[in-house]
Order: sequence, then C-alpha cells, then structure tokens
Amino acid sequence: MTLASATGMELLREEPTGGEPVLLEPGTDAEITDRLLAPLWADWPWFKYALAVSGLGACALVAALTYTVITGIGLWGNNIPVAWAFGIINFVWWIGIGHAGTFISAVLLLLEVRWRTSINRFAEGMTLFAIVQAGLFPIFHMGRAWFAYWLIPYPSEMGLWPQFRSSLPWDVVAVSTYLTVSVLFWYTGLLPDLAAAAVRAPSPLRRRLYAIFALGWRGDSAHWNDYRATYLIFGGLATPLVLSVHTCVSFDFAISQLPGWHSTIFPPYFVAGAIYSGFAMVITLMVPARAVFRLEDVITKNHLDNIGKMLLVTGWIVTYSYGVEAFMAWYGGDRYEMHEILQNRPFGPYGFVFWIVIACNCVSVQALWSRRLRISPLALFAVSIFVQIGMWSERFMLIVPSLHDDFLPSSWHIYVPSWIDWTILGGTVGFFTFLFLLFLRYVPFIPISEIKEMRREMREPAGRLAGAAGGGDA
Amino acid sequence: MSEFPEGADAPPDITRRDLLRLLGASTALAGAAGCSRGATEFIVPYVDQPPEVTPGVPTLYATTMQIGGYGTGMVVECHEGRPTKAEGNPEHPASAGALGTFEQASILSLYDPARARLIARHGRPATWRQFVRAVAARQPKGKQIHVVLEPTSSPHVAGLIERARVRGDVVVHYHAPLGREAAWRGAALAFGRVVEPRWDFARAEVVVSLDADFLAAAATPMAWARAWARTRVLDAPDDRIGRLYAVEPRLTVTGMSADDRLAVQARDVRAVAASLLRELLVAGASLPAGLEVASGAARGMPTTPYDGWAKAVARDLRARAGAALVIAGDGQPPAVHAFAHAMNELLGAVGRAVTYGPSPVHEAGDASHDLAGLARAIDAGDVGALVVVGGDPAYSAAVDLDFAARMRRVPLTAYVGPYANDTARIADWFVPEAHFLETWGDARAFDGTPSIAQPVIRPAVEGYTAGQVLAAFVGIEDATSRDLVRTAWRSILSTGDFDERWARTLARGALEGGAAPPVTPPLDWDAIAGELRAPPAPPPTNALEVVYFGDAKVHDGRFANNAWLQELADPVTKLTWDNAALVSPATAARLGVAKEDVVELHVRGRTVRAPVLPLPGTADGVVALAVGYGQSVADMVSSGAGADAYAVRDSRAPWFDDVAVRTTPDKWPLALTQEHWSMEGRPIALTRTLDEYRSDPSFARRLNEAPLSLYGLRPAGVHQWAMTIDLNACTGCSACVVACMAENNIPVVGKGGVRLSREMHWLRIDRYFVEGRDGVASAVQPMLCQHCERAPCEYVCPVNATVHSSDGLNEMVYNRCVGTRFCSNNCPYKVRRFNFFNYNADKPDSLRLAMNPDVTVRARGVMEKCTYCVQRIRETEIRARREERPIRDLEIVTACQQTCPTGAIVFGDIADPTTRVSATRRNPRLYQVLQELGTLPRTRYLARVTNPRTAGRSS
Amino acid sequence: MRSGILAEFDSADALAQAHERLFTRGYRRLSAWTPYALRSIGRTEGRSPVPLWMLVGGLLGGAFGYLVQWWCNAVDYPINVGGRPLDSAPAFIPITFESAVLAASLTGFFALLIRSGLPRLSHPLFEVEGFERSAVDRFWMGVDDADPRFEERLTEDLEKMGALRCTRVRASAEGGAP
Repeated sequence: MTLASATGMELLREEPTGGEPVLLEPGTDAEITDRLLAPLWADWPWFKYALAVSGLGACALVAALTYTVITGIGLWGNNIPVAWAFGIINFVWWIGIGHAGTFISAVLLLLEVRWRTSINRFAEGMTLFAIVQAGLFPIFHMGRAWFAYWLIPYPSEMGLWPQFRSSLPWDVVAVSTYLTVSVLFWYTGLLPDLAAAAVRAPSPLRRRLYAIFALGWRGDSAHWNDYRATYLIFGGLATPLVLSVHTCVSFDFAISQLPGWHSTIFPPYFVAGAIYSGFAMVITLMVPARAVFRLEDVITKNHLDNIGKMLLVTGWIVTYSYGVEAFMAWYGGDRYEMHEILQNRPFGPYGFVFWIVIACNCVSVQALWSRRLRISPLALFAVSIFVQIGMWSERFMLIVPSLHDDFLPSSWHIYVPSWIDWTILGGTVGFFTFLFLLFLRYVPFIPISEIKEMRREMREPAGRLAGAAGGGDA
Repeated sequence: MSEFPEGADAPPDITRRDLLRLLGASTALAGAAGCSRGATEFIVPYVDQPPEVTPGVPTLYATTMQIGGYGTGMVVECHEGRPTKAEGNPEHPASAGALGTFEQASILSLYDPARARLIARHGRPATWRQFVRAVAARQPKGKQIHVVLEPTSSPHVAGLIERARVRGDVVVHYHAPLGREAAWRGAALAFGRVVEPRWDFARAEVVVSLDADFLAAAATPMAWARAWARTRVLDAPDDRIGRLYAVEPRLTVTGMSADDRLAVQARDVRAVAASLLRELLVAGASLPAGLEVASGAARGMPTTPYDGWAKAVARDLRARAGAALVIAGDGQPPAVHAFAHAMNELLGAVGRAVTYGPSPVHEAGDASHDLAGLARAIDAGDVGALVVVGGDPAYSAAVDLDFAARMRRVPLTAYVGPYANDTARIADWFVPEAHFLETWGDARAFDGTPSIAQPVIRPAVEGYTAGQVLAAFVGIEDATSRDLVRTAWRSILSTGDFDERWARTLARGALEGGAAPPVTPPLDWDAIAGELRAPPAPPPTNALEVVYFGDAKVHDGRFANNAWLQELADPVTKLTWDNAALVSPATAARLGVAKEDVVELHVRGRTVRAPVLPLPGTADGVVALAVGYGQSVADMVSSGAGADAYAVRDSRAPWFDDVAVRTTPDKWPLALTQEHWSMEGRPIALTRTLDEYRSDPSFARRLNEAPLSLYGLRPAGVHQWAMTIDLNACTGCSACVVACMAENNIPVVGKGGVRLSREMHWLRIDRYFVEGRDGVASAVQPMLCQHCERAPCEYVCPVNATVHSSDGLNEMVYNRCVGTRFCSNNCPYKVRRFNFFNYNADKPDSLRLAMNPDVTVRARGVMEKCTYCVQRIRETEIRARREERPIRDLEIVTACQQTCPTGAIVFGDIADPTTRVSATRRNPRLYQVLQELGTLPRTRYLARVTNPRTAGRSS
Repeated sequence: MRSGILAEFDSADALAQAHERLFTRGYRRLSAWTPYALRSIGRTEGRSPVPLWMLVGGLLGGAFGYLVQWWCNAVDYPINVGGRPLDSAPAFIPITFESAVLAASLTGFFALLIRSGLPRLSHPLFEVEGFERSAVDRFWMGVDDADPRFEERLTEDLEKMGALRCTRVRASAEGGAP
C-alpha cells in the first residue's frame, strides 16, 4: 500500500484549497489549556449510564469466555473444516482497528501533516483499547487456553520450545510489541499535558494524582530536546511497526496453502484494510465526542475533510486488492483458487457476505468524493459505520468461506455461529467502549501542548515545518 | 449407555452422567473382578499365549458370533480379562481373517450399561429356579408351551430343540425379521429341497447380482468379499479383471462396486431375472436334455423393458460359461432364487463358482415354524405359555400378525433377551440373555463348519442362553452353557481324544475340515418352467414401491443401542443416528420433497413417518427404508433415532410393497458425515474403465511425481512406514472405520455433534457420485492421515505438537497440543479431528472397559488423527528387538488393514524394496491425492479401474 | 542549573528573544522551562544522543530475537517439522524485526527518563512561586551563576527584555540539578 497511500499523504499535506483551518480562534495558551482540560473537571450527567451499559457488555464478555474455558471451545459454532471462525475474525478486526491510532501519530507525524495534532491522542487511546480486545482472542480461541504461555520461549522441564516457523508466535510477538510501543508512544506524548493537568486540577487529590503520572515533568529545554528526538524516532519505528503487525496477522492466512488464504497480496491488502477500518473507528468515536464536548474549534471541518479523504484512499486500496485477488485467481488458473474466489465467495452459501463487503467497503465510501459529505459529520459517521460492518464482514468472507469448502468436497461443511459467538463479539464492543469512556473521562484526550505549539507556529511562518511536536529538528 | 447425545453439543448434563456412572458401575466391578482370574482357567488361548494373563500383554481368544443363524469366527483381544477388540479369524471359513461391522462392534454391546441384568416377574426380582418352575411346568391337555427362537445353527441348541419336542407340549417357532426364507424356498423350488449355495467369487469372472448385497460387511461372510477381491487384482494394464453386474432397487455396497449397474424397482427384478434366463435358454446353442419344456415356456414369455439389457448380459455370461455366476438376494422372492440356480446350471457354474450344501440353519425353510403358525395357535387358544428367546418380536414381527396384542392374550409369557424392550414389557417373566462373549455356545458357518463360542470375560450379568432355557424343558434345570455345549460336541468330535480335539478346535476357532460335504441336487426344470409360465404379477396399486432392507448399522434393530454403529456413517448414504426414506432425486422432484422433509408412507392402510433423503442410484419409484430404527426403548442412545419400518411391514410383502407417499410440512434434521457428494471434477478418487486405462496406462502415474522443492529434509530412519490403498478392491463397506474406532478409543459425539461436523473418526470413507455412462456412478475412497513428508499441518503448529518421526510418521503430541486448530485449517485432506468437548467425560465406566490401554485417551481441546496405529508399530519393533531379529514384512498390521475384507489396505516399510507395500508402489495405478500441493503423502492410492460391458472385450 | 537567576516571561517569543540575546552574548549555561517545545531554544541544546542509543538497542534486540529462534529450533531441539530446514531463516525474520523495534522503543523511553532524571516528583523549582505555570502558559528562563559571564545585574537586563519578574535562587536552596 505504501506507494498508493503515500500519494494519498501528498493530497493531505498541503492545506486544502479553500479548506477550513486546522484551528479556529485559538485564544491564549491559558485559555486553550483550560478549554481542553475543562471536560476532565466538568460533570457529565450521562457518564455513569454510558459506563454502566458498556460495563454490562464487558461482563457479558467475561461470562462468555469463562463459560467457554470451563466447558470447551465446542460452545462456539466452529467445526472441522471451519476450525477458525468468529474468534479469529474478531481478532483481525480489532487489531485492524488498532492500526489507525499509531498510523496517525507516527506516519502523519513523519509526513508533518498538521491536522494530525488534534486527533492523534484520541486515536492512540482507541488503538490501545482495540489491541486489548484483539489480544483476548489468540488466547481464548485455543482449545486449552490455560497453556497459552507455551507459545512463549521459556525453559520448561519439557525441554520443548515454540515452533517459530508458524505465524502464530509471530503474532504473539508482533501484537505484544505493538501494544508496548503504542503505550510508550502514547504516554510519552501525554507527559506535558499531565503536568498541565496537575497544575489546573480543581482538587488537591487530583493535582497530586496527575502530578504523579506526569512523573515530575518540568518542560526543561534539555528534556524537550531529548523528548523531541525520541518522539520522532518513535514515529520512525512505529511506522514500519504498524505495517509489520498486520502483515504478521495476514501471514496467519498467507503462509497456509488453503485456497483463498494462500496469496501474496495479503500483507499490503490487510494493512490497507486495517487502516481503513481504523480511520472509520476514529470517525465513529470522534464525531460524537466532537459534538458532546463542543470541540468544533480544535477538531475542525478540516479534520473531517482530511479523514474523509484518508477513508476514500484506503477504501480504494482495499477495492483494488479485491480486484487483484480475483484477477490473480483467474490468471493463476489454479482450479481450487478459482473455485474459491470466483465461485464460492460471490455465489456460494456465504455469497451474501461478499456482497455486504462490496456494498460497505467499495460502494458506500464513494460518497466521500463529495466535499460536502466529507465535512458533514453525520454523513461521515454513517459511512464510518458501514465501513466497520464491511471490514468485519470482509474478515468473515476471507476466513469462513475459504475453510468451509477446500480441496476435498467430502469434508465440505457449513458453519453457523452460536449465540456464544455473538455474545463474545458484542462483549468486546462493550469492553472497548467501557475503556474508552474511562479514557475520555480522566485523560486529556486532545494534546494540549501540541495545540499550543501549533498555534504559535501557525502565527510565525518560520515554524510551519514544525507542524507537530518534534518536527523542529527533523 | 447414552455414551453421548446431549453431551456433545451442549454442556455436560451432570445428573444424567452420574446416573449412567452408577448404571455402569456394577458392570465395571463385575468385569474388574473377572480380570484377576479371568476365564482363563477353562478356556484356551488362540495362539501360544501364557495360560495366565500377563499384565500389559493382551491375550487372544477365538470365539464365534451368530447372526441370523450363521456363525462367524473371530479372535478377541483381551487386556487383563476384558475384551477390547474383535478381529477376523483366518481359520474360520466365514471370517477368512476379516470381520464385519457388527461382529467388531459387538464388543461395545457387551459393556452396554443399558443391558438388563435382573430376572424379574412383573418387574419384581425373581430367581432362575422360580422362572424354570413357572415356565417349564407341564401344560394341561391341549395346551402347549410355544418357544420363539432366532434361527440358529447351533448344534447344541438344535439337539435340545429335538429333545424338548419329545416332551410333546413344546412347540418351537423361529423369528428373524431379516430371515432367508425366500432363499431357502427358492432352493426348495429349484431343487425340491433346501440347500445352501456356497459361492466362490474367486472363480467367477462375471457375476450377476440380482439384488444381492454380498459385498456388504453386514451379516455376510467376509469370505465372499475376500474372494471377489481376487478378481480385481490389476498389477499391469493387460491383467484380466472380473466384471460385476448389479441389478438392484437401491444403491448398495455391491452396487457401488459394480462395473455395470441396473437400477430397477424390487418387484421388477423378477422380470429381469426371467428375461436373462430366457436369453440363456433360448439363445443357448446346445441345451442339455430335459430343457425343452423350460425353453418352450421361455419362448412364450411376454417381452419386458429389460430384454435388451438381458440380451447383452447373457452374451457376456455365455462367453464366460464356466466362470460365470448369478446370485439372488434375500429380499427377492423364491422364483428369482430359482431362476438364479437355473442360470448357474446353464452356465456350468455348479461345481465351480457355486456348490451346494445343506443349510447350517436348523430346520431352514420349514414354513411350519414361522410366527404365522404361532398366531394361529394363539387364536385357537392352544398356547398355554409363550417363551420368547432373543430378538424382539413385539417390535419387529410383521405388523399384520399383531404380535404384541396376541402375546398379551397368552396366560403365561416370558422373554429372555438383552434389553427391557417392547417384548419384555409385555412378558410376565423377564430373564436377561447372556451376551455371546460372556457365555459358551456354538454355531455353524454358511458351509456347515461348526465352531465353538467361548466366554472371554467373567459374566457381567446373570444371563442365560437359548440352550439353557430349552434344557429347562427337558428337566436340566441349572446346566451351565459349557456343559450343554460340550455334551453336544461329543457327537461332533466323536473320533479321537475328545478333550484334545476340543482344545484344538477352541484354539483354532473352527473345526478343521468341518464343512458339510457338498451335494449336487438335480434341478427341477419343470418347476422353473412353471415359474416362467406364471402370469405376471398383478399391476401395482401405486407406481411407488417401498423397499425394506437390513440396516448397515443396526441390522434388524439389535444394534440400535450400539453407539459405535449408530455413529458409523452408512457406507452408502453417509447417514448417522437415523434411517431415512431413500428416493432417487427424480422421484424426490416428482413428489416435491427435499432432504429432511418428513413424509408419510401409507402401506396397506398403515402409516409411518420418515425423513426423506434423496440418493442418486436409487431406482425411480422406489422408497427404500431400513428396518431396525424407531425403537421405543427408554434410556438408550437409540431413543428417538429413525423411523420404524416394522410399523408398516406386512408378512405378505416383507421386502417390498406398494406405497402411497404423502408429504408433510415437518422437517426431520439428519446428521450426515458427508454433505457434498460431487467430486467437482477434481482428481481425488480416480476411476477409469479398463479400456481407458489400457489406452493411457500412466494416467495415474502423472499424479505421483514429487514436485520440485527447495527443501531437502527427509525422514532418515531405517524403516519408512507407508500405506497403499487399492481403490479397485475397496468396496466402502466401512468395516475398517469400526476397527479404527475400537482400536484407537475414538469417542462418539452423537447426532448433534455429527450435524456440527465434529465426528471424531480418524478414518472416514468418502463417497462421491460422478456422472457415469449409464446414469450415476459412485466412487469410494478411504481418507485418513496421509502422513505427508512435507506435512502442511506441522510447520503451522506454534508449539511443536505435531512433528515428523524419523520413520516417516506424522506424529501428534496430544499433551503438547494447545488447540489452535491451525493444523486442521492447513490440512488439505481435513483428516484431523478436534476434541471440542471432553467427550470421554460422559462415558459410563462400563464402556471404559472397552478401551484399548495401549492408546492414549485424548483430553478436551486437543487435536487428534490417524497414527498408522503407532502403538502396533512400536509394540512390534520392541518384540523384534527383544528377539534380536528384523521386523518381517506384514508383521505390523494396522487395525483397518487387519479387518479389510478385500485386503485393499497394505501397510509396511517402503525403505525395503522387497515388501508388499513397496510392490504396490511400483503399480502403474499408484497416485497421490492432491499431488500438486507437494505434500509427498505416505498414504497413496491405486486408481480404480472398472470393467464395464463395452470395455475390455479382450479380457 | 544549580543556582542563579530565574526569569518568567509571558510569551514564547519574549523568552526566545531573551534567550537568543544572552546566547549571542556568549552565555552558555542557560536553561528554559516551557509548556511546549521551542525550536529556537532547542537549537542551542545540541544533538540528543538518544536516537543513537535506540539504534544500538534495536540492533541488539533484533540479533537476540533471531538467535533465540535459531537456537530453539535448530540447535537445542532440532526436529523434522514438515520437512522444513531446521534453520528456516525466512520464517524467523518477522520476530527478528519485531524484537528490534521493541528493544529500540524501550531503550528510547527509558533513555529519555534517565537523561531527564525522571520520575522526580519533588524538585526545588516547584518551590519557586508561580513556576507551576510553566506547564501552562508561562515561559521561564534560568541563567546559572556558574556561567563565567554571570553577574547579578543581569536581572535588570532580563526585566528590560520583558521578564515579568526575576528570582535569585541559591545553591543552598537547591537540591540536585535539572
């Protein structure tokens, strides 16, 4: 995807002609600070209800997983041949969503895209919580989840080690690395704002707490110097990392020889899909938050416009991948591949999923060619929901139909998810929302110091290059 | 013994499981008690085994099982006094070293916790002595004791029957829902007396089967399939192979193996046979004297739609005169059997491919002993006491006899049987019947060879045998079955030292040279002529015809409670846990019904509801329904399984009858192990005709080349194990599947589990339908772990749980498996099975006794698959090392190979070019399934080559 | 700085100019405390060594990642897996890369903390009245009295340069150095 989306970046780099500014009447630093910290101190009457509802979902998730571990994976709809289904679909879906955050913080950072600033922390938070959801599945889809640690190389009395030719240990390392790096990246960026929060917090208790989490950050110019350098390299590391993680995930399928899985296009195709769904999720979360916390001045139409374009670009990469997959199946002339991709996917028993995918991922996003729709929060939100559904369905389309009829027709068998499967899927959404609500409540979710810096640099043209923190010495 | 159902696709049901535990416990303890001393103090091991059991070393005993009066010898493997596996006995003429599904699965029935275990009178416990006093008491004048037995060839039972008759007030009847009366009467018709044809398929180059499923491994002598397979050996393109014609209303194992198949309604088989006979009579160049009448009658016959077919086949038969054989099935009327005998006479098959001998079954074909006679007696009020031994006539007797109601009218009724079934519920007295593996007995094979049945376990139940019941009538109140058998055998082993010969016969499993001398009765051509002249049957009231047949899994219903058999996929339909109304797709379309639709079958004013299963190969207008299902016995795995064909089966038309079909809106979910029946044109189960093969002898070889690969790592052990399966010999009979279940402790997952495609069979038989020249042809292919050298399953396992051994085995390390199931996804053959639940947790303790201690019981959440019976490989390796000698070829025999009636499976060492498996690797028909994937499978196949009529003129 | 003069500015530009001036005058022991990074000041701080450390950390991590896989699958427990080579280099790349990134990131983060002497919850600067606003909207500069050109009257200059107020802090009042 790199080439294609790089050109996408080019689009986003220059200010959209006649476009909205990335920041409206900023006011003084103090005003910005208090303005952006206000949500933390404000009282949200709806918060506890929202938290309760999502918490219920989280409980359902815990219950369903416990039941599964106690009784057996047979509670899921899985069978032989369809040995992987919802568990892996959800894993890929969530880890995909988790890609936008770091992509925005890292890639857009390197590309000095200014509109990144207002939304990156938001996206990073989303990333973390999405990875948490994804991380559940590699463990709980196992027949013997309590032995999951056998995938880690530790000296055991069995004298055995993991088998590193399998892509599953790759996933373990990739996902855990991704989680760790994302946390570091996120926390590093958070330090100055926690310091600010520690100053402005209304109650001494909160002041103390934020001070502790700020680790005593003093904004010393020497610290800033290391901070900027480190943050920049973080970006440089996180960029290939983002690409590598979903590449590893795609290997779970690509290294097999199953028709419909065994395909070299998978890594780029998966990464594009991941960022696609990630941006969709950013929109899904950002649009309501923007309205609730009246953030129109920091998350301007310019942001909406640009994310809309991102969606359009990645959407087209995904569409292109579908095309290439079909073409290669035909061009490769492999009987099994052709059956799977040209016959079974569109017209087989799961054909309807294929058409959902096309409608949501390829068609619905075309609405964003219109700038009017791009800057309309409602339209953008609607498209983002379609894309979420589409991307989940895409993973279903890739995993289940490929498995349910492979080489020997004698073993073909249909797959139907069980109610436990649905509960777990819904449960992760609840758990995700739960964590994200807590994040909004207690963490400055708009990077204050970066906004202030950006404001200053927008005033002095010399600083234009320094679109984001650390851009300076790049 | 609900070894299963709800348990598999739902969380375990604690209370039920505990209940079953208790149920099983007594059996378990009894069995355990038996371990210590075992039965070894008075029975004789099969081969040179230590007289006392050595822990860990299995002991083998020869014994005999009787179904429908025909004995099959078997060798039973016992671990510490508990039988775990039954295998064929090469010394026995019926077994010939192989064993059918029923005989193998009978092990599980022995441990069935649902078996009745108490003598009871009106449900209250009683003793054997009380029973004998009550039942054997002399009847007042004009009243008799009527005894209903299953047909038997047991010498000691036969003797006791005659002795009992001396009493004067004992009348014996025989009841077998799947009896061979038609065959016997056919023989009587043709020869004026009942004789038993002994077919030798090895000497028949052309066989015409008139609705005779002689290749099924279900209550048929394995010797038949074994002999037939010898005519299918094809090492080089110019070898000759036999040809099999099948005329049948529904697709059978025989039909699937046929080179040329004619699907007709069962009632038309007679016309086909007659037409064929006419062709042989009329066109016959030189007919022996005395046939003028017959040929005259033949000329006078009306034409039938089958004359064209008959002409061609007759030509083929005559061309092979002397090496041709025509056989008729039990489901066909006597006339068809008579015609078959006549044709064999004309073809000079008698004395070659078929010889005749007396029927081993006592009083075979004697109509005066059937249940109709009993019904008349009851109506006349002559029956003072009715004693039913074995079977379940209240359930399985012809419905028009209304046996249950009549039995209720008898003042004193008793039932000696295995389960508290329908008959038991009516009877005043109930006595548990001993399982043949825990008591003494004897039987004769189809050729009359007598063999002894010896107990292989200390009885778990206080059970009694037919012999003991009959003995009671002659005043022997508490004879042990052993005494009865030994007494009877004194006359059989009259010459020489009795004890010595007795011991030898026990050890050998059958009396040496015990076959009854063949007889050659003259054929009564006038009778044949009479049958030929007989007016055609009255036009059917319906175009549709219902065909009843013995089920491949539960037979006549006696195995309904056997979970191994219930979960075994039917060899033809791949259906488990049910029977179904089989119709051809065309007929289904005409009736407007689809799979799983419930239909009502109306036969002579009676109705049965059954699910529809459209099955290619079924003759149009036929609705085939297996008997033995729909039993109403509570607390059994069989509860609610299938539709009860006996509910409409009439004594006047026990095998096929007119039927009206009414559709209903209801659905009846069916559990099939194979949902997709087309091969999608993929080169999986390769089939060619002989001509095609000869014109392109390397068609298979092309699928045997190893694709180029960068990887050089090959197993480097001394031995390299491999398996070759000859699709030319494989009939799909599924005996190997049961053998695998028994040997490898394969759990049962129940109907729900099978519907979710979670069955655990390591070895399955794939059955495909392909568009053949004449309609639908079928192909079968045993599919098991291919033990690929470049196994796709191995490199995707994250924890080294499946790896390769130096002798070429794809090893599954259960205790290392974490259950990611990636290996199954990446297995192109989908032969890996996963423990979605703890399937063994639900197993009653008594059933645990049937488990093979040499094979690990798998835990929940781990993957499992075929191991090439690695336990047998290692056991042999160790023995060879101890004896400081190399392993002999064919010394290691996998379970499936051991029991394969046609010897289609060969296992051995391909590192040694002299082994048989290495020889098969040189066969031009050798190919790999999915060779293009470069998995280098160790399991390879020999392509099937059929020999249809147009083909192989020269052969 | 151990001790010297602290000056508070109300705008980044004021601070930047003041800093610029003193720097051109030859002052080297200058420091600043700002709510966000100021490039102009950063320029005077010299290149941060952290990136180099991260590079080294990353290389070591990657090497370790590969060695673990190679040793586990090819040396300590060599077994035929699907006929694949014992040392299946291509299959070992993903983990090698991931462990490199992980090691580099951890190095970076902890290098940052260590060099900045964080976490340090109590610091003498926090005692200075009004300093806390340096996290919000005030810009502080400090001139160390150890600087050879240091002189007390610098206070006036700073005030001329727009400092809201200057504070003289003494070593005695100080704990460690920033």
